Amino acid sequence: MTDCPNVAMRELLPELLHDALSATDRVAVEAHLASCEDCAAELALLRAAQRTMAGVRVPAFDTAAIVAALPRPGARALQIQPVASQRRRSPIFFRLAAAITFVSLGGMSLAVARSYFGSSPVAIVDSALTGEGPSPVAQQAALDAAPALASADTPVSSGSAASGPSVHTALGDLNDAELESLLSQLDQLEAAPLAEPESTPGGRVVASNGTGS
Amino acid sequence: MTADIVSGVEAPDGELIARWRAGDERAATLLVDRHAPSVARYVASLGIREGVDEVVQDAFVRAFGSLDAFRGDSSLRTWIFTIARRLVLDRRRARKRQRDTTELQDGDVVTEYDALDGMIAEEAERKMQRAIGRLTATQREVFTLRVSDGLSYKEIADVVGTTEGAARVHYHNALRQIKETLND
Repeated sequence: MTDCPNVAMRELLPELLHDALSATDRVAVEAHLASCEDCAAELALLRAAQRTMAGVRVPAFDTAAIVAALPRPGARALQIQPVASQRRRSPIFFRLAAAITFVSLGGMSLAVARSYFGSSPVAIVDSALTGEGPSPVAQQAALDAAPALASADTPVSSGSAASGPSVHTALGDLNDAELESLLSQLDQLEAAPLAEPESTPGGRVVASNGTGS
Repeated sequence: MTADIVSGVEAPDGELIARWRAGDERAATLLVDRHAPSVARYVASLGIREGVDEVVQDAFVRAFGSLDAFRGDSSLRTWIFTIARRLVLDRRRARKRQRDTTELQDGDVVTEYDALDGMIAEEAERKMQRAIGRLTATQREVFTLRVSDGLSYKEIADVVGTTEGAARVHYHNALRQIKETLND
């Protein structure tokens, strides 16, 4: 068996085998086959090979199982949607969590500040903004001295125990003498001890030198 | 004939794909019935002896799962063949790693065809079976796709991952090899 020199015709033989030629090509190839023993023999060989390969036992497969395993076209969009919506919802959850955290921390801060200053947030914010609030040391001393002030039952002590707005207003209403009296009391508060008091040989309790100033 | 057209048996792949996308599962059944035998035969020709059904099913599942990426430049069958071939290569690599594989390499004549000795009665077919079995793996693959499945060189190149020219050379080398074997 030799090869036909007309390669173009030989190339079309598999197409003829599968009936994949145009009408024009089919006529041309069949005309060539009628006069070319080599191509006729090659076509016969190809048919035999096709028959042999078709005779190979096709491995068993289950069409129904394959179809059942296929993704469902209608369900694909539904499967994607929850994922997409989860992704869209995710920032909302984060924002909500951030808001809750912010409110919680804010509330806790407010509660701490209230217990710390014993006054309303207005006074705290006001003092924070003006920078005229007592220093931390003075605040601690004021807390330590609060019972004493309360027992003294002075207008100032009662005023300091009042709510923020009232304090703010009361301070504005004080005259010069009252302000001086208040300042002198504050001076005394700033001299309050920070550390454990030391006992003098006479048994008197004196403040240590750590005044915090 | 008319009933076949209505049922979709004669409908082209593109039409069946559109029907499946619209929710017609019967269209998927028709496509599987149409292409699964040739895919299974092709997978077997690549040297897979066990689990052919798994490869075929996986190939269809992946093909249908990625139909959005199927541009239609090639036929659906070529698309599935390409996927099946990759799956076979993946299995081969996995088995190679496990060192319990029987690799299919060029020159390996132990193929599915050899396993069918005795099943084909006629002497001529037995000779042809032997001749095909003596092809290299690449020659056999290309020859099978060209003669048994009727793929063009371009389609073969897409499936095998080579050029049209290389596919043509492999086909003609395979044909010459078969002729020589049959003339021995």
